Amino acid sequence: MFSLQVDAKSITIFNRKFSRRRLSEYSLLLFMLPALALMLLFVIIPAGWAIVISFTNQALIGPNAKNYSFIGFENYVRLLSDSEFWNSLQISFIFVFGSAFVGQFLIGFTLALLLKYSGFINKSIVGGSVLLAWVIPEIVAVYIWASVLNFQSGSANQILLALGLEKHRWLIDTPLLSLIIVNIWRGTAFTMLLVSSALEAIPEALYDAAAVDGASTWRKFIHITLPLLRYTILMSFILITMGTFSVFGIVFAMTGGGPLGRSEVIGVYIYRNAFEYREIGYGSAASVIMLLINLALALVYLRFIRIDWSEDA
Amino acid sequence: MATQPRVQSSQIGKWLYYAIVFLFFFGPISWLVLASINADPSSAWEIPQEATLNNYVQLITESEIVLWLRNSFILAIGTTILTVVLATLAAYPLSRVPFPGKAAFMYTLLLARVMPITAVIIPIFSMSVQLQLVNTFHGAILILSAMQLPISLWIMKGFVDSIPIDLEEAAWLDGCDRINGLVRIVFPLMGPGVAVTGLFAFLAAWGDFLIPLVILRSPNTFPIAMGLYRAFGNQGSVDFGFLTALAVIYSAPSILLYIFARQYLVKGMTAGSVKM
Repeated sequence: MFSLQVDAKSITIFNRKFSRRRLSEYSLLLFMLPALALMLLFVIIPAGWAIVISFTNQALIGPNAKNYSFIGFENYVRLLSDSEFWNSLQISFIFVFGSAFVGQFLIGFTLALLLKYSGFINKSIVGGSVLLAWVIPEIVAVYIWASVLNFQSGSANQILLALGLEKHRWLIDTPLLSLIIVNIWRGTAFTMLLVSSALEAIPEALYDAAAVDGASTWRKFIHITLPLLRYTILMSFILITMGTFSVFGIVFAMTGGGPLGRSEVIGVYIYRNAFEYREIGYGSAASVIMLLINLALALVYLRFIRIDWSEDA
Repeated sequence: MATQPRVQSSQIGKWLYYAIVFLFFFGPISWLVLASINADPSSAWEIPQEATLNNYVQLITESEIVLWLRNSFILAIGTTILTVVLATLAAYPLSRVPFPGKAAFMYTLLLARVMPITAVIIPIFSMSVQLQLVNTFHGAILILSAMQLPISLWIMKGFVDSIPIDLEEAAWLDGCDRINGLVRIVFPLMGPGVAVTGLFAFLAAWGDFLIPLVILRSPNTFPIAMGLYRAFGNQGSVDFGFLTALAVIYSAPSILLYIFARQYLVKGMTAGSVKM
C-alpha cells in the first residue's frame, strides 16, 4: 500500500541519487566526439596553423612549398610596410562602416519598427523582398548587380537617365560605393529580423500604460522601445560588423578588388597573395592580423552577451 | 483636428519609404526573372516584348548545367545530412549533461561561428592538399559541415533545452534507459531543430562560393556557383539569356525553401544572438 502512494517525483529523486547516474551521463558526452573532431580538424587547427605558417616563407608551389623555413617576424615586418596591406585595411573599414552601420543597420532597424504595426500585406511584400535578397546565393546577387550597374544599359543608369542625369561608371569610378550598395542589399535582412524578434518580446502592456499617461509615439519610442532594445542594437552592430568584415564572394566576384586595389578588402588581399602570388606564408600573416581584429570584436560581443544573460537570470 | 495633416504626411512618408525599399530590394530580382524569359534580353530592365522559354531550353541542352546541378545537390545534401546528424548527437549531452568548462565551450563555439573563413582558407587548402581532399566532394562536404557546426550546435542545444526533462523522466520510470529515452522521446521532439539546422546547412552549402573556389578546382566537380561565376567571368561572352536562366535555376531551391519554411529560417537566423 505504501509504495503506491509514492509519487513519480520522489522515485525520480531516488533513481537519480542511487543509480550510477554520473557515469552514464559522462558516457553521453561521447556523442559529442564526431562533431568535436570535425570542428577541431577544420576550424581550430587551421586557425593555429595559420599562425605557424605566418612565420615561414612557405609558397603554394615550387621549391618553397615543401622545404620552407622559419623566418621569424619577417612576413609581419613586410606586411606592416606594405602600403597595399594598409590600403586593404582602410578599404575594409570603409566597407564595414558604410554597409553595416549606415546601410544595413539603419534600413533594417527602421523597417523592423515600421513593419511591426503594418498589415500582413506590407510585411509580406516589403519585408519579403528584403529577405529574398538575403536568401538567394551570393554569386547570383553578384551577377544581378553587375548587370544592374552595367554602364551601357544597366537599370541603375536607366534610372539616372530618366531623372535627367548622366550615366555613371559605377564599377570603375566608384567601385567601393557600388560594393557597399550591393552588401546593403544583401545584408539588411539580418538586422531587420534581429530587431523584429526583439520588438515582439516587448510586452504591449508597457505601451498601453504609457498611452494612459498621455505619452506621444516619439516619447514611447525613446523611453520604452530604445532602452529595451539596447542590447539587441549593440549585438546586431557587432555581429554585422564581424559578418561584413568577412565578406569575400561579393567583392571577389564583382570587382576582384579593383580597379587598382580601390575596392580590395582584406579577405581579397589574403586570397590574392596566397593563391595568385602563391605566397602562403605572407598571406597567412595577413590572415593572423584579420583573426586578431575579429577576435577583439568578438570579445566585445561576448561581453555584452554575458551581461544580457545575467540580466535574464 | 489640428494633428490631422501631420498624421497624413507621416503616412505618406511611410508609404514612400516602403516604395523605395521595395524598388531597391525587389527591382534587381525582377530584372533577373524578366530577362530570363525575354527573347532579346539585355542588362536593361524591360518587360519582354516577346516572352519565351528558349533561354532555359538552350541552357539545359547546350550547357553543363545538369552536371553543375548534380554537383551542387551532392554538396548541399551531403553537408545537410552530416551537419544534422552530428549536431543532433552532440546537442543532447550539451543540453542535459553538466560538465566542467561547458560555458567556456559554448563561448568558443560562438567565437568559431564569427571567425572569418577567408582568414583560415590558406591552412584549410594546405590541409586539403595533404589529406588529398582537393577536387573531392567528401572533402568539400567535411569542410562545409565543420564550418556549419558551431551555429548548428547552438541551435540544436536550444531546441533540446526546450524539451521538458519530465518527459524523459517519465520514460525512465517506465523502464527506459537513458539511450532508449533519448531515441524514443527526445529525437522525435527534435523535428523543428532538425528542420532549422538542416535548412541552414543546405542554404549555406548551396550558396557557398569560397570553398568550391579553393577546393573544387576541376571543372567536372564545379557546383552551379562556380559554373555561373566562370560563365560571367568570361567577359568575352555576355549571353544574358543563358546567364539569367542559369541564375534563376540556381536561386530556385533557395527561394522555394524560403517560401515553404520561412518561420524556420527566421528562427535559425536569430538563434544564438537574441536570446541565449
